[in-house]
Amino acid sequence: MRRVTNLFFILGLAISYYFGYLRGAGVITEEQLRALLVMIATFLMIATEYRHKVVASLAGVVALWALGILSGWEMFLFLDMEVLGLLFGMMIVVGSLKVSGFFELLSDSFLRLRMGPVKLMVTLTSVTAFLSAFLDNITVALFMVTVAINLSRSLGISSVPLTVGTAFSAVIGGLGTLVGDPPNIMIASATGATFTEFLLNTGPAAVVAYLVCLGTTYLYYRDEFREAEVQQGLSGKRPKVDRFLMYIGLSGFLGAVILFLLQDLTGIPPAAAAIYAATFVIALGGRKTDKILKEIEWDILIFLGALLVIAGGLEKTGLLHLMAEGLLGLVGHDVELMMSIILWLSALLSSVVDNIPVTASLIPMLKEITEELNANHLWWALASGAAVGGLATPLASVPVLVAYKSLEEMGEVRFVDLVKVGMLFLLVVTAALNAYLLLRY
Amino acid sequence: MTLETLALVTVSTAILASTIWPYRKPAVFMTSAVLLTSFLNIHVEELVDPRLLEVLVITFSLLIISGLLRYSNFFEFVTAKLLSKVNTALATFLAVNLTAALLSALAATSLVLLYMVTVTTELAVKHKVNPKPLLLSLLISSNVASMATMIGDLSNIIIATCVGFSYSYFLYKMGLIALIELVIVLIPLYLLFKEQLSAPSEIEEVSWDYYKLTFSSSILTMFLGLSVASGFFGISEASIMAVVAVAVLFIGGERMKHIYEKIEWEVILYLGALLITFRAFSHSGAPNLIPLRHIDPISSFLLSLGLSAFIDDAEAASLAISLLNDVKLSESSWWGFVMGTSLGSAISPLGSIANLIALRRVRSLGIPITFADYVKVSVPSVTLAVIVSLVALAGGLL
Repeated sequence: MRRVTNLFFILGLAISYYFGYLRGAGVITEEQLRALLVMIATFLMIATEYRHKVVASLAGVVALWALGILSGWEMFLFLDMEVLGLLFGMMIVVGSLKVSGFFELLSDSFLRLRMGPVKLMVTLTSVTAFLSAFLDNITVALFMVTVAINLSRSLGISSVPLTVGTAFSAVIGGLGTLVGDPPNIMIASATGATFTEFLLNTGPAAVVAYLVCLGTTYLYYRDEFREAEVQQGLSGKRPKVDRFLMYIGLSGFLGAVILFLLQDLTGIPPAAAAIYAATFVIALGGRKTDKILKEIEWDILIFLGALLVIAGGLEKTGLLHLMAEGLLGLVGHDVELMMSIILWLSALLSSVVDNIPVTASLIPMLKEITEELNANHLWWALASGAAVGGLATPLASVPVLVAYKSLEEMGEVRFVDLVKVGMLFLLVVTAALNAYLLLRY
Repeated sequence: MTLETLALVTVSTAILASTIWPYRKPAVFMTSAVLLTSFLNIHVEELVDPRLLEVLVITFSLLIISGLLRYSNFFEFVTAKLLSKVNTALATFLAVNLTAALLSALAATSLVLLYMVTVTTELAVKHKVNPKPLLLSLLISSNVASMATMIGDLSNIIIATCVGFSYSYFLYKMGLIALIELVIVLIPLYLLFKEQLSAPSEIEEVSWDYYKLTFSSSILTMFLGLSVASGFFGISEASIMAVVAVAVLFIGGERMKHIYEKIEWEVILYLGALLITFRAFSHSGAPNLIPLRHIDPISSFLLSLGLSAFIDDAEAASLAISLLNDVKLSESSWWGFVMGTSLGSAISPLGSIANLIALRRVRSLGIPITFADYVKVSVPSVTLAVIVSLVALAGGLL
């Protein structure tokens, strides 16, 4: 890890030198250079895990303030309440389901199925992808990876194929809807796209990516599946569930989804819908309210808020405008080429850094590009790339990290093995998405 | 029902619910904030202003610094060192109370009380000393002392930020009176408990991590020093505190991970929801239903004292700021308010969530202290401090 850290710092110095050169040549201003260096340093600290990602991003925010790039109030103005509110609300709703024991019940139901290996994989991965489209994919991955490992044992095969397939489905599922992944929420807030628009545009992309991923998993691990036995199905006691809280959580969840779908009619934005659902859940949560509130992932909220501020710093200095102009100058007005570049750029960047900072940095730039080219569908390329980038490495997405940690503990996989598989899947799925986007738009 | 009445009913219900279910305060105020913003059809962003942000930033920074002190066992260290130097009942009584008072003025009161309660109970059990007198007196004295600084209590943070008092000016105005009132409160407390107090036997030597302790005390000194000097630099206290807090997390690296993980996010959520609820309440025009034309310092003091004895002092401060938004209040009236909220929360356990958390901890340690036990002691001891405050306000000393 130390070597990787050093490598990243040398890279950082090289980039800084290059931009220092640009500054000397008068291409960028002093303020732009400072903002850029703050962003590069923050990204490097996140990518190398030099500091906890929240601490690194908060340090970036403090640096922007100390360098006089943004004032405290300007920072607030760059915080996107739509994004933060929606995530916050959904975290409470999902938290209530988690506290009620809903996910344990779901896992138990899987273990009771009597199915062959391939059928089981299709069922498990499709349910994972579906749940991940609506719920926080970290929670989904945590539960479904455990199910995958238990199912693999009952099938008498290595845990790797099902676990990897499940983690990848959780990553891809997030692409399907507006609430599936933080980058989608950020894009929706920046563009004003509704839940239905997302469902109609990124939904089919998620289906394509899921089918390609499923096929690749089968082909890659076909020998394992051939050796598997038919699962006999678990019997005995069901796990303990707080049924009242589960019904409250499910009602809140369904209520939120209905409000998302009816946004055009009601005019209620997704953040407000999620907050209404969350309030409903905590108002009726009774004694479990404390536990539900503990499920809020403040890490993610603060991390996201800090990165929005850092991207805001770049935007304020006009650097993103400069970058957008540079990219437009390079690609010209070729929309198809631009779409492919956005897709691959966001996928590759998201494979090394968390997709939230990547999206936060690319959104202001893409705003200018889409206006210039009059091509709104470029946003779907960004959403797709940011989502599938998470397939590549355990550093890039939590579901893959969860899978890696579990498999590593059992001694079934090494970091390098998983990166190899991840990179292969990333290339195949991104290529498929590129073809889909080019055909559709 | 008009919107104003609806807002008034919502806020009153929220305050009542938070008093009945004190441990569900974040949920209660989150619900009221959502209801009010929906009734009034306003966006949350319209209700947020720089002052509200400053309150949240200061609270966040304070929680991190308090977490650092907890991580380094700073509270235990200070208490143990002080107690190792005393050998009489009076000295023990003073050491426990003054430590609690000093720490409450410098760090998050709820955390200080939680630690002081645990340390005192362990000490009392070990040395077969009755813990009740020490626990009751430290709860009261720490509430009184929390009036000394703007970070001493959530209500102080809210008032100081909304009115625009700097850290140093707050300390200058409230520091001395807090000290006088602390002494005045300790005298009746000592007389009440004189017969039940005894000196602990010899304190056992404990090994301390001096590296952590030096780090945390240096940071605390820097935190307080820079907060006092913030005016000199022309930077707000919130900015300075945030920089120090983030620097602590950054410099500490992996070691600071569990400080970060143990931040009491519920406090931030509660405070954010509370402030948004009262901003929406002000926005609705409901405060005009309660006509307040002029409030003199004494009325302001008595009003806050009465409110804080029955509801949380942070809620009392927020309510007061909403109600007095259009009333031109003199500076002395605000100081009256600060004293009232601190003394009100010392009079009754309902006055502050910190009291309730500490009492719950006391009960979990097997020492039954009832509401009546507390009030029987707090009323006579705080009465003298109330008189001192009234004299100070009537004499125009503030």
